[in-house]
Amino acid sequence: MNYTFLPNNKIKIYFKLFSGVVKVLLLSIIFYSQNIFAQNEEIKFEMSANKYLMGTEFMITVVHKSIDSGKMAMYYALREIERIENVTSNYKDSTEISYVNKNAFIKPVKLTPELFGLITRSLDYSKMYDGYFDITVGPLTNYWGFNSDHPIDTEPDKKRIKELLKFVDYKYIKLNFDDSTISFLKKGVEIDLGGIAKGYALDRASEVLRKRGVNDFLINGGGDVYASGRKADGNKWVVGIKDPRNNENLVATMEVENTGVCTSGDYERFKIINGKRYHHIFNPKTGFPAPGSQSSTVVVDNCEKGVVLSKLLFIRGENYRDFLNGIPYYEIDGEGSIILNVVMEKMINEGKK
Amino acid sequence: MDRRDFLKASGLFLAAGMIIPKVAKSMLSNRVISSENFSLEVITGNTDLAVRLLEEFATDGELGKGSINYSEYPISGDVMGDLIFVQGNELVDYTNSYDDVSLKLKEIRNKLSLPMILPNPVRLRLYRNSGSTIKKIMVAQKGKIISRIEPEDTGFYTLHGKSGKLILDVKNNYARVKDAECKHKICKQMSSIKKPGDYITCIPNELHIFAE
Repeated sequence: MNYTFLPNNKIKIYFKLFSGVVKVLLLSIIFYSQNIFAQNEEIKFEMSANKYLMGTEFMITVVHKSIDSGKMAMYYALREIERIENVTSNYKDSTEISYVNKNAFIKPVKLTPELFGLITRSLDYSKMYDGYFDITVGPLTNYWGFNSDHPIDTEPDKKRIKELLKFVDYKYIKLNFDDSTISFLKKGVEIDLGGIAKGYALDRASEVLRKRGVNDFLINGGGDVYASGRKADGNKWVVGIKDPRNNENLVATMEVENTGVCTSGDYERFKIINGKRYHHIFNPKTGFPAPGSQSSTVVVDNCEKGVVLSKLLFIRGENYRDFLNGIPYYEIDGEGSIILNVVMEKMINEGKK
Repeated sequence: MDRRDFLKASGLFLAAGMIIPKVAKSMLSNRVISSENFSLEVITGNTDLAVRLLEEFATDGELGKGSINYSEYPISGDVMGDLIFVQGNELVDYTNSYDDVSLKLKEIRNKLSLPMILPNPVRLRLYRNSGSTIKKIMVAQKGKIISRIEPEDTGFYTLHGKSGKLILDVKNNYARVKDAECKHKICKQMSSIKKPGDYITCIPNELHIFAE
């Protein structure tokens, strides 16, 4: 047969050209796809800052595309916690709460909207949980001294504690909603916001970070944690629960996103006197450190609520079912056995029992 | 060759011309950092400029893809400021190399007028996958680095804090608090330092001990 319409050499040229073009196209596709991936994968920086505030260490870890913005956001978040400490601490004479403690029995004291709100919510928790959460434990915390530099070092005096309990009742606080003032109905009443202020500070610090465009962060305030967004590698933040009797070990870990994990433990501040462990979480009804628990953890999206609930779980122990409706909890009781609900069991990676 | 053939052929050359320099460039710059451990440390008195330069360097993709850790600590005392680049476990001699990364590092070093002895400088560090072996144990007080301990230097280190002494026990790439002159002794109960990222905090002494 004779192919006259296309000479042989021309076929070869076309074929060469064609295969060349295909190669070039393939190559360019590879190069361009590489470029596209490179552009999509934004470099993110992970950085942390820590500061001693509210008698504990606050540590913030932030994931952001700009070092400067991340740093700035952490700085303002820590400053916000410092500001809250300067309102709520009763270990500093200059704070608003110290002024209230000194004057609220003598005359009604006008409060800033922030402190008025915080005390209002505290009293609501007290009412809701039958006084097992109470901010008037000031005289008791002073006696035990765990939050100061001089904790108790002799056997506690039962008679003295009984005396002090007379000043512990949230009903001695009267709030006036018309002019946002506070007054104490009994002389010697003292507010200690230590049980709630840290949770509030965590919530406020998270808000500051979000307002500054940071959505991936973890704040740890001495065992109470808020995790937002994801880690730098795109995975969820991992929060662990410490073994109360061996702090080197974790009894469980969980992956969390946009939520708070709050823990109360008898291992953070305690004193062993004559073989008995006295720790800093009191039962406001007895005036003594609550027995029956070593540690309690709850997972709640709002840290203020979280710190209150973890303490209640710690103090109330067996009665936890009454007030924790569907909130994941993990409790290690006085004997060291683990009690957790189904919601928590689903969240936990290790230490299932 | 007719006009159509010529166009096709020239198109091919054009495309090749666009790609070849890229290939050549990637062959010339032999330093590939992606996924490898690295640590880029700058001790400087000009933090703002250094942060900007490091950020540019990283976002240009010179430190590979993926997230990068950043840390910043002031150091007390007179310290030699410099730029140190460690890749894998090796110190990179970028001053005598001419690849892309080395040239850029030299430029950053020049812009920051390093090396130079600086009073109370700031140490910035970009790093990834710091690995499982401790390279340094850092002691910071009130957020300022006051001493650096080699993890191999076994012994007891006495650190002076606000409320007294703290004795740090360093042995076989492992550190823990042996004793502290404070009331609560929480630092003694805190877990020990075994790998980079671990830390011990003594609140009354305002000491923060961490491993890199």
